[in-house]
Amino acid sequence: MSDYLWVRPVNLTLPDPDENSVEFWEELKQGRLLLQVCGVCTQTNYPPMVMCSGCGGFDFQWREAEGGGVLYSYVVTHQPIHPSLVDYTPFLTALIELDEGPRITSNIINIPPEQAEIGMRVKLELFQVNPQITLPLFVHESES
Amino acid sequence: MAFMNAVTIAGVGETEYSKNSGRSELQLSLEAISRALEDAGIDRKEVDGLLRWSVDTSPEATVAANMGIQDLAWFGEISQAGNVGAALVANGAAAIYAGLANVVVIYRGVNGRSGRRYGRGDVTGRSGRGSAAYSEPFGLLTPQHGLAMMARRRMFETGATSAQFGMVAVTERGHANRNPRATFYDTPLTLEDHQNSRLIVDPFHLFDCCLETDGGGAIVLTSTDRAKARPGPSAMIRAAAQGGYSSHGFTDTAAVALSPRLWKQAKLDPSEINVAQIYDHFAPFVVFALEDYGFVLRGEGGEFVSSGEITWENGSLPVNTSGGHLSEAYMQGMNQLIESVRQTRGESTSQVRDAQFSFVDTGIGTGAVILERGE
Repeated sequence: MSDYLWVRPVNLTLPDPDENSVEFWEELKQGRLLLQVCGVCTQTNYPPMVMCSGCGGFDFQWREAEGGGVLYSYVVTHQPIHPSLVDYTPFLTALIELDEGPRITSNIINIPPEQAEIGMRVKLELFQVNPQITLPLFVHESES
Repeated sequence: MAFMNAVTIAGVGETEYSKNSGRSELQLSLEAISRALEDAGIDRKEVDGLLRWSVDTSPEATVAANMGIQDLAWFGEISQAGNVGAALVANGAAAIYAGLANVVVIYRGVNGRSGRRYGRGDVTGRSGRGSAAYSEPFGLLTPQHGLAMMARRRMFETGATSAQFGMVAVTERGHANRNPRATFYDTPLTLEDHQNSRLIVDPFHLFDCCLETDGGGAIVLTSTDRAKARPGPSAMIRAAAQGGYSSHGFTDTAAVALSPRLWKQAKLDPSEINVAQIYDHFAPFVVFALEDYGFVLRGEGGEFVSSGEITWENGSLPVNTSGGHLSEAYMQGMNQLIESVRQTRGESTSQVRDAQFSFVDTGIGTGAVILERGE
């Protein structure tokens, strides 16, 4: 395992929780990545929905993600096409398929972008940005 | 049955395409509208419908006031992004077919280089609000980020390559080199240039990405009977359909859902299309559209491009014959609608001989128009 550690751009956009998502972000601060499960048809959603696209229900429960998944796709931003990215490129943004099924956009923080490979195993690692916001980031799990 | 050839694009107009127009987006639209009406031979007082992209900054009421329209019977804008050109054509044609309007003008005026630049995350971003809370904090800040994510996975699944995307760019540049209106009229492009160009959002190289353009464009829709006043071949709307994003697979464009409905409406098969304009904000989406609309099987689009099948004049389906968004101008589909009309009239600088059916995709499979040459 290399010593690589991604440095998150200091001014990169942060989530702005609203009435539909405030509970999700609060739970992250407590260390839990929540997936939304429909109380009627058990469809699992990430990000949370307002109405269940499977059955039309509004009655949801939360389920804590185990934290494991595989890399489903990724991009590497080279051009600093946002002011916050100047001096922080290139960096990797990953789409991870969680073992529970839903896909989550995140970053893999312990590998340089050129080592990303679709199908590689990853594991949740929470990252506290500030007292208000904790982000669900990931690390690559070596085979051994 | 929908409006099957009952409505015609009777006129087209555009300004010059540049990096700095030196005038307002409203003026660009009005100049283009004036030219389109002149082309159609229709007086501006006859216009009773105005439609625009929701991202366009010139309200219908302002345009109507400048045009001196007395009774605006049909107007509105369709929301999302640049990808609603076909939806606007379908909307205008439906209004005319239903008798709710007689002459509908669709317009687009944009200072996309000297004004708001869509490639900039600080322009297109939503500051982490709503669904963006789950994407922007991880660096997906612009439309191209999400599209690059899809393209990467589709490359993995179908074997499509960056070099094949490069051949889209090279082919379109060749067409632009024949079109004096094109931004890159004077500049050739090789596959080596494409592969050596810097990465913007990997897997997209610089020459996979569309231009940023200042310019205006407009098209005039009216009944095919009314349009007959204009001499020469015409562009009848054989079919026009709108699509959406919902509930398809991650690597499918919306054309997977739209395509069966489109071909049924047109009563045509993809093999009957003679020439195509395909929304190329990013070159890979030409390959994906060829596959998802059924011109070729999934996984075969890249080879279709590389083997010259989309190249004028010997390819079986020349694509983006004016240079497209990559090499002519990025007018959010308007310049491709205009080029499609030129093809049915026999007026393109890369004219497909005897083009009877001219196809336009206006963005990621979310809408398409098929024009038929009328005599």
